[in-house]
Amino acid sequence: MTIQERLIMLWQSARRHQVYILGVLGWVIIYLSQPVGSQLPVYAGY
Amino acid sequence: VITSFELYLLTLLLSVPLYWFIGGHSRHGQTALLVAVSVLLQFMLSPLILVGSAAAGAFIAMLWLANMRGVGADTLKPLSWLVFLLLLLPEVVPGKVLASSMLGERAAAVDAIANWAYLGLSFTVIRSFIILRESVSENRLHWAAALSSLTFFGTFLAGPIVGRTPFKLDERAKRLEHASLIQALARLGWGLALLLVVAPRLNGWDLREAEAYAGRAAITWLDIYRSFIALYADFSGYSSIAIATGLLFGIQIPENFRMPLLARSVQEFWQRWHLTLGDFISRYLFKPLVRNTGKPTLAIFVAFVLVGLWHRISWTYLLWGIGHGAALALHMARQRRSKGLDVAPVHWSRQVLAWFVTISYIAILSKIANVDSLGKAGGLLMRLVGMA
Repeated sequence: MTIQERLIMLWQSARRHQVYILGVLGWVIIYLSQPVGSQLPVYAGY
Repeated sequence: VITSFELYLLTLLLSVPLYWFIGGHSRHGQTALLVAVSVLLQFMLSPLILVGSAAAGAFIAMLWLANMRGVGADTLKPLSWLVFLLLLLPEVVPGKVLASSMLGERAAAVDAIANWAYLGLSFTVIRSFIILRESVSENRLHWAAALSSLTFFGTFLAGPIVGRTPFKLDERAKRLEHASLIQALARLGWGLALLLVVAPRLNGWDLREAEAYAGRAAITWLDIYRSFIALYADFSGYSSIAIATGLLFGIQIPENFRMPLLARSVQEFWQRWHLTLGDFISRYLFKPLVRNTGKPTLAIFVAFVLVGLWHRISWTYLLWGIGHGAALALHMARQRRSKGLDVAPVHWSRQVLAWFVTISYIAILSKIANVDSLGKAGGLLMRLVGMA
């Protein structure tokens, strides 16, 4: 298997598990950014 | 001090296990718990939100009573639009006055809360409309599902916009699957990070210091992209949390975004951004307008002007509606002209250009919509071209 094929496989696998990868990343971001949510978020209008 | 972040997690931690415990005995008990928790949360955030929900609920009940007394679908359908009149409520009753009288000591946060309540109202109104329309076409209210949809704390502030269908007992999961739980926790983490860390950090980034190194116009452009990406982080983060919350209660809330920042035309943007609003526009505004006028380009324009005013009744949101409506109408007119002709594949450089122009155009419209007055919007445009 060439490096290119390996990279493509890795990318496809990451896409399949995107939700979980982003989820772990999200919790890490929250953990590192404590305290979060001390203010009410102000929605600017959608 | 309990922050909104902790409050949300605490609510989930307490209500989700109780919800599934009750589910073993009574599924209607589950609905009752869901509504009770939602109403309590709405009250804690702002009594204003509860006022909005109650008014919308009363409107649904009124029309449904009329239906039971024999008023037909042909009368009820146009009447259901009247629910949008509730959007005038904050215009006739100054939100700040109302909020400070209701909140007392918490009045310091009045601006934030009034804003929040306002937005909650926009979504409550549109949700009520869809619930009414679904009920009229199925000739059944499904009141428990309607009530849970109207109040559900996962979606009440900012969607995704759903009617009562995913809240019906036979649509809801009977047990919390392991896979759903893991997926919900992942989406919750990503959504909270976007909403509570990424969006506020982007918005809080002080660009005035950078003005020493770059021109004022360049900083204004940077500010526009920054605000737009922050808006996307905020909104998609919120939707992600809502979908995760739905999953935890066995309720399937639809997706709201499909990588909107990749859009290469305003039309494509609306196939990727706020999908549930797009569904509403297409089903209840665009298609009926086409049927009545026979002019799709006029219909899309009018639909988006109205949607602009749904966001907020102001001159700047009217401009937002005109901007989106005009771009979509032009796009549609061009597509109709080239129908049947052989269209050559578009070169990648033109696609990149189209992407850049589209995202810039939409980001400028979003920024304009959220300034206080037309004068300020004009000033912003002048700064963009280096004339102020």
